[in-house]
Amino acid sequence: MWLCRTALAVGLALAPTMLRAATSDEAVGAVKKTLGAVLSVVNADGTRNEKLRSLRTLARKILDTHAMGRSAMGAVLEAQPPEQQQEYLELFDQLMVRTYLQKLLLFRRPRFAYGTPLQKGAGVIVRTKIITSNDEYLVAYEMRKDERDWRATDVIVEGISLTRNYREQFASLLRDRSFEELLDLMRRKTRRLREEPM
Amino acid sequence: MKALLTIMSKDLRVIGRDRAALLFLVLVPFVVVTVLVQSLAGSDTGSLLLPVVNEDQGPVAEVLIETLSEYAKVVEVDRAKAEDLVAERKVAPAAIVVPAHTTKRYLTNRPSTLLLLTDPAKGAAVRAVQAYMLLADRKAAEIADPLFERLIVMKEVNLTGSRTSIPPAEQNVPGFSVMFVTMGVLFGVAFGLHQEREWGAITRLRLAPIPRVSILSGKLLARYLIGLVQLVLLFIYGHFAFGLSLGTAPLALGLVMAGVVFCITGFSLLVSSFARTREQVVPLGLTVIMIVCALGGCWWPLYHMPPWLQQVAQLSFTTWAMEGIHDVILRDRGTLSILPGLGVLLAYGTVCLAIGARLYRLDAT
Repeated sequence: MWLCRTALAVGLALAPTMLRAATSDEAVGAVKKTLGAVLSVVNADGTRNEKLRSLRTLARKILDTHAMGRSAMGAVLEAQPPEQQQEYLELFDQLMVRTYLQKLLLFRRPRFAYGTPLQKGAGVIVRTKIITSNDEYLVAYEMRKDERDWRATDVIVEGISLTRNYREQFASLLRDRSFEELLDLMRRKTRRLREEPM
Repeated sequence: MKALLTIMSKDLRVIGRDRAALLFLVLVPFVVVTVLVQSLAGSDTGSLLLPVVNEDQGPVAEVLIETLSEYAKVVEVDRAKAEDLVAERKVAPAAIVVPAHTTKRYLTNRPSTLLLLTDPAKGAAVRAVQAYMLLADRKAAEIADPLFERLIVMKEVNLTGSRTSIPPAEQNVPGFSVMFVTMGVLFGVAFGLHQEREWGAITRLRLAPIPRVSILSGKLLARYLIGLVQLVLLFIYGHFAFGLSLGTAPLALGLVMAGVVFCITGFSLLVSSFARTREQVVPLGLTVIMIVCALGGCWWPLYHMPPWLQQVAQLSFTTWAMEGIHDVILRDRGTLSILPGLGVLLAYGTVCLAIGARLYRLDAT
């Protein structure tokens, strides 16, 4: 009886840790799976456009660009009509996916390494390194689980958050422009990006 | 008129018998033009040596080096070697130092300061490197800044033709062709007239009932035709050997060539009239040819010269000759557009002919 009570107590005490470990593993697994798939696409046969299409799909799977977009715009977005909010989120998605892929593709033949994940509230920070022959570059993914999958709500490159970077740019632009003007800037930017190869 | 044609055909026959002279006229210019065009092909900025000190060793430095390699001959060296190449050996106008952690700063959208080590004595080349740096920087800025907005987009529109870049052969083939035709016609006219005078042929012709103007015109017409054929052949050779454009208006090109050789012929008579003996022909002819070719843009583009010298160059017929040829082959101008320049060439040639004919004494000994 005493043994059963002790086992239960130990089990209950370790449960959160074990649960957290399982949770972290899932988050790390999601990042590993995506980066592995990115490498496969980059190294596979196919045209540049085909590869970019596949990479965009992979990026959208791992990046929760809507959460990032809402975080980057903050309360200003809530004050906008729903159709403008929707358009902003779509434009932000295109910009963020491009930014992420550009940073990733800057490295010709990247090698990825994974550090110990960190629990952050309900989320997990998955720490990765891009290793080249001469240096290492730190990229961390702030992961949260939505209804089904683990997705990144922020990407932190060398200690600088991409979402925060956008937030600062938006705040700076909104100091002397309206939301509609900012939206127009994003429209023009994405239109031009569609015409140009990455 | 009949006398003029007879003298011309006689002169052509005499020239045809002189195998050595024919060899000079036909073969030597082709060989020299080939050698010069090939050796000057590397004088554009693509062969500009640009040492890069890659202290970053990251992908951003790789992108910069890749971009710069499109415009210059990039060599990766250490800082000491870069300074040696620029300051001591003076073989590079500038060197670029990409500092450590440039990639990390780029990835986090923080600016990096790249160092440009320059040799101010090579002003034009340094400015070229600065322009390349701007291009590379713009490329890298787009990578780093997600909202980077190019409000000023550079798009090259060539207002004077269909091409945005002109290979060196387009400058060198016409330039050296004009030079060789000038040499051929000038020495041909000068030696021809002196020879005939010394052999007494001129005196015999003067005794015949042939006007003085016909004698001189016949001789000049023979040299004119040879010069024109030589220029046409050199351009055709340039077209097939070096991809020289012949423009979009063959008539305009033909008229310009005819005008250029007319001007050369008039100029040759003028110069010949100053040479009192055969011995004076070579030093006088060579000096004049070197000056007008250098001044008129036969060896390098006019814009490479200081502004005051460009003004002086307007006095040289070669400037108008090169301008007329470039109008047709580089700027795709048609017949009507080249008429003013052609008029200048014809007027120049006519004035030279008139002064030369007045100064030249057929029966002088």
